Amino acid sequence: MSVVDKADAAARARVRVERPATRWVPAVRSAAGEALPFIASFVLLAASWEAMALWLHSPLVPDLSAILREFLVIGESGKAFREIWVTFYRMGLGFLLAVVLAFPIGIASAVSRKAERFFEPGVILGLTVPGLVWALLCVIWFGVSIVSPVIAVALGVLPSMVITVQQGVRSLSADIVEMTRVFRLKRTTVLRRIWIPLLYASTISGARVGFSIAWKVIVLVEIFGMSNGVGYQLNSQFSLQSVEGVIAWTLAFWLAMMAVEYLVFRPIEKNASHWKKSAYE
Amino acid sequence: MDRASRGLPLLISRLDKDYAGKAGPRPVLRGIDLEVEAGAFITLIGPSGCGKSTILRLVAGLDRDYSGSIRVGEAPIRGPDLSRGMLFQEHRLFPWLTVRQNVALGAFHCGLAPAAVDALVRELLERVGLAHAADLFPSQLSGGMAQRASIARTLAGQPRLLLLDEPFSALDAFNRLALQLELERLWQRTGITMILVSHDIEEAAYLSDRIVVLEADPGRIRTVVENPLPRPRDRVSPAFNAIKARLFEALHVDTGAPFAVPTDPAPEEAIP
Repeated sequence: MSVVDKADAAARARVRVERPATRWVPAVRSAAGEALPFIASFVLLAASWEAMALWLHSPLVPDLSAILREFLVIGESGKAFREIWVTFYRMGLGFLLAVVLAFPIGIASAVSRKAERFFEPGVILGLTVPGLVWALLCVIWFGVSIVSPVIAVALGVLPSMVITVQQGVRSLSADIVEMTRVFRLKRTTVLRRIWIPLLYASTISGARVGFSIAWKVIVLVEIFGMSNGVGYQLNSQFSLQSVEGVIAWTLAFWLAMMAVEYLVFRPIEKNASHWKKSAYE
Repeated sequence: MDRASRGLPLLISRLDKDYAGKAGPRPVLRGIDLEVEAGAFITLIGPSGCGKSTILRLVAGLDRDYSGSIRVGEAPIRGPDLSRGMLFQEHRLFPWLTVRQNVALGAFHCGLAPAAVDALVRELLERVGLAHAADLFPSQLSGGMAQRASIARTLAGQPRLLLLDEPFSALDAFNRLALQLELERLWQRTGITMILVSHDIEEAAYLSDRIVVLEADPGRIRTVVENPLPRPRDRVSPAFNAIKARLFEALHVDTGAPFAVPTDPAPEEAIP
């Protein structure tokens, strides 16, 4: 053990002694500090809505109790869960298709200049075309089958996923690639030990963005061509001129997306990028 | 393997190297002749652009575009090989692998059984003082710890020649001194041939048996300074300073020492 390490260990030991006995106090304080802005924004939003509803007194701006009532109706009957599941199922399939296509295209355009030039116009086209166009075209071409939402979502998500994969591959430094030569690693080892961890970490945040794009496309497909799903429900509430219905469905879907974010994406991201974390955080 | 048979000798003769430039090839190395006996510790020192790192890359087999001959041991060089370990200024650990996994990858090509790899990794981490950090990621290590992990990873390949490209220059002074000492002990224990590239005159004087001074444009050997001082070396002894003075002189560096001060008062504009 070097002199430096010893000094370091001594410093750490000193810190341990000076730590206060009530260790939970700062923890509670920091948790409250994190939750407070969140609660404040939520309360302010609800209060201003309620004030607006009271002031305008119009069926176009229903008050909070009407929205809550509608929300409980769709929740209690189980309808919200069924419809959100249908929508998630379609989104998930389309999203998976996009990911499966994005890997070869993204890797090819990262390693080859020719492939990049070949795919670039398509990627830019995909980024510029609004999700609405994919939704309309797919409903026209594939009708009311499951193919429509899957293809439309895949087309909507693909360009941003391709860019994510491409940038992930490019983020590997030449130094690291050289080390695989110095240690004469086999191709399969390079794939397993270098490429997969790197792509796993770098594409997961792109996947979150992709998933929110997928939602924006699926809702349109369901409005135009489906007879169930959250988009269809939004559209039928719209035709009933039920503002509270539209808001209740939006809220329900927002909650579902929050659940996916906190139960699926955050844990995966934490797992994928745990090596980036510093010990001193 | 006993100490004497562990190291590999290196023989470089009439080595020329060009880099392709826009205005035709640019000469980087010209007429390098260098003989390093098995188990020796030599340092290549010189201004930037003298091609000292290029020599290491050629010996490592990372670059095979040269003319002349490089022989390590008996076999000619056909690309990188674990018998020629390389350490860089940056630790170059794989960031998503733990220290343990990084070191294990260094032993990858030796064809050891997994249990043997585990034992080797544990022994190496013990030796570089990182046994407690085996499951940390590179981002959680200090600079000195990361460079130690990198040394362990290179040693995992059982090298018989180590090519060290300024491995300590990015470290703070304390870690640099500690690692120089550890490197010297490693060399004394194993007898691995060491070829160090350095900018640090004191490092060169402390570690090496022989210091090869290069000059730039194109890279050539200017002079070779033998360093027969007994080990362990005393960094503040007059004999040690004499070696340093010879290196400063060979590198044409003005040390500001009394003999270099002109008898007339220094002109105003010489003071920065």
